[in-house]
Amino acid sequence: MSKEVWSFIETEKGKLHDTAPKMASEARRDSRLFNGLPCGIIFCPSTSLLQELGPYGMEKIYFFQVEGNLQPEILAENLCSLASQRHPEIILFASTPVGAELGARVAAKLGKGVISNCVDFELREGNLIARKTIFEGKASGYFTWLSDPPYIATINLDSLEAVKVGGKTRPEVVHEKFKKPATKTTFVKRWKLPLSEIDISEAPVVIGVGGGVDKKEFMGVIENLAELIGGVVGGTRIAVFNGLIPVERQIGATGKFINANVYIPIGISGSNRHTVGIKNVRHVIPINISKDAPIFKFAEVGIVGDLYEVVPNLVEFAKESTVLGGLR
Amino acid sequence: MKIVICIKPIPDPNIIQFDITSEKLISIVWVPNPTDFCALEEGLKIREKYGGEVVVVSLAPKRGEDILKKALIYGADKAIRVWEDSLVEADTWMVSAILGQLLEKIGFDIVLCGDRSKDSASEFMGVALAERLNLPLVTRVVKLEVQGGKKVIVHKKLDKGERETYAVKLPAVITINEGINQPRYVALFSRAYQVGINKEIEVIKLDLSGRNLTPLVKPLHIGQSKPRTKVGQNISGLSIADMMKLLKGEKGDKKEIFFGSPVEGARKIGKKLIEWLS
Repeated sequence: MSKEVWSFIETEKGKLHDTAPKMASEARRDSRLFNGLPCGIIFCPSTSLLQELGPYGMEKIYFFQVEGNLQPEILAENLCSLASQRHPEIILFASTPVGAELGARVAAKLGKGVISNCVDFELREGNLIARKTIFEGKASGYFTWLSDPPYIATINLDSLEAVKVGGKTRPEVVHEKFKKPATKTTFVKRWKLPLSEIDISEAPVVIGVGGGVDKKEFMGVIENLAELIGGVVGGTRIAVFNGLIPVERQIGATGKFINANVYIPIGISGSNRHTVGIKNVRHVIPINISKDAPIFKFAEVGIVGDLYEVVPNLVEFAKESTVLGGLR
Repeated sequence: MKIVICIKPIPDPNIIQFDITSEKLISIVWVPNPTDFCALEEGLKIREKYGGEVVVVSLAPKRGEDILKKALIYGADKAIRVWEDSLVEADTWMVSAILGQLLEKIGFDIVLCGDRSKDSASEFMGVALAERLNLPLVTRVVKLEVQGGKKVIVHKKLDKGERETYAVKLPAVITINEGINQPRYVALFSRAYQVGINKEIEVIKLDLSGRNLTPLVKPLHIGQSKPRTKVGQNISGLSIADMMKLLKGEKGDKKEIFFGSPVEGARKIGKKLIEWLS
């Protein structure tokens, strides 16, 4: 029997989490190191989600049928009892808030070593070696496990990628029985911070303002737009100096680094000290009057035009669009 | 209320350097882990409100005394240091065993730690400690509120501005996220400074003979920092200039620049937003 490589597939509100396909690929990738079997563990209400994972190379999925989001405590208990029955070789988690805690909890419960925020794995003389960044990326540290398998690791989110594989796409589903143990903490509720309180580094949508916005009263329109598309307003140092935004909303070398899905720079030319802060943004869509502005180098789609004309039109569009309203 | 804060001495991440030829870290200056001082600040805030005692503990050799002294200057009542020469290569799991034994000895109502250290960032300490002591645990806490001395309400930080609220009965272990507060500033030669600098640091020797202390994880060596080579981006055919662009996060030739009327432009953004956000 080949050794199993497990990866924990995170779900959120009955849907697959962003990291789910990536973790499926990760199990596939790491199982190649010793001809293992890529397996997934998932806690979700129905099996319909599982077929989405097939293209990413999952061979076997341990499926716990359960409703809703669960405390890491309960998940860890179930994972531990499954791991002590099945003896996997590696258990992988994404380093999300849930995954990081879960990895540590499982390791502590089983009395095994955990290496967190790994970037890569390699085999040296039959031993599994993990590479992780230390000192916030100044150097890489190479670590190994002294305990017996399962080796437990959490993986850096920047290192993950979803890779589709051809061929067989239907994973084998193993139904497991979910146990609900007594918890030591009491879950009260899960909620979302109001937009005005979300820190700019964790906001999913960010609107940036720069030196191009020279009428202070126009900020009202931009804040209105932010509210309509569920975003947070940030900006450059010039915007802070002009009093458009508070200093904790500054993006860039002397401000904060953002991790948004969509970033809309309005009237920002895009100097280096600002753009280092937007390296992790997935989609950048600038509005600028000059077509030569360096910000367009970072753009996926760019709009060349007067921001005083484009932004009010965008507000109109956002007001009318029921789709955008529903996404908020 | 007895509040215990665990502090880790780390090499200062701001000035540490990596020497390529010898593959070693150089210019090491030991400082406290900044997140642990956020935990200390939170402990001091609880003491100001509900009274009690703030104790800082650290597993450190003699050089760690400066760090504990700093915690005393900030306002901690008592500082305890544990050390054995055999602990030089201790990993988190071993440290948690020793700190756990120490905590059982001195007693506590709540244990606060930083959620991750700036050097190894393993996020394991608090979890291991809770497991050793069989206590409730909440990680990455950004708000903490004590209710009646027997219970705490905590907010756990998740992604994208989401939070989870937990009610936890004391005693408990809470790991603190650095977003919770800004550690206070104590001016040189101020009253707090003078009081703190004159406090003694207690050194406790634990009987570790009966314990089975073996590390689970071993550091091997240090290398140059490099990201993972991904399948999706083939960099073999790229020129140096293109690789630099990739490194800076520029998108290259994939981009689409729109010239035209503001109405059309706005519609284009709106459509893209719908596509990306759904």
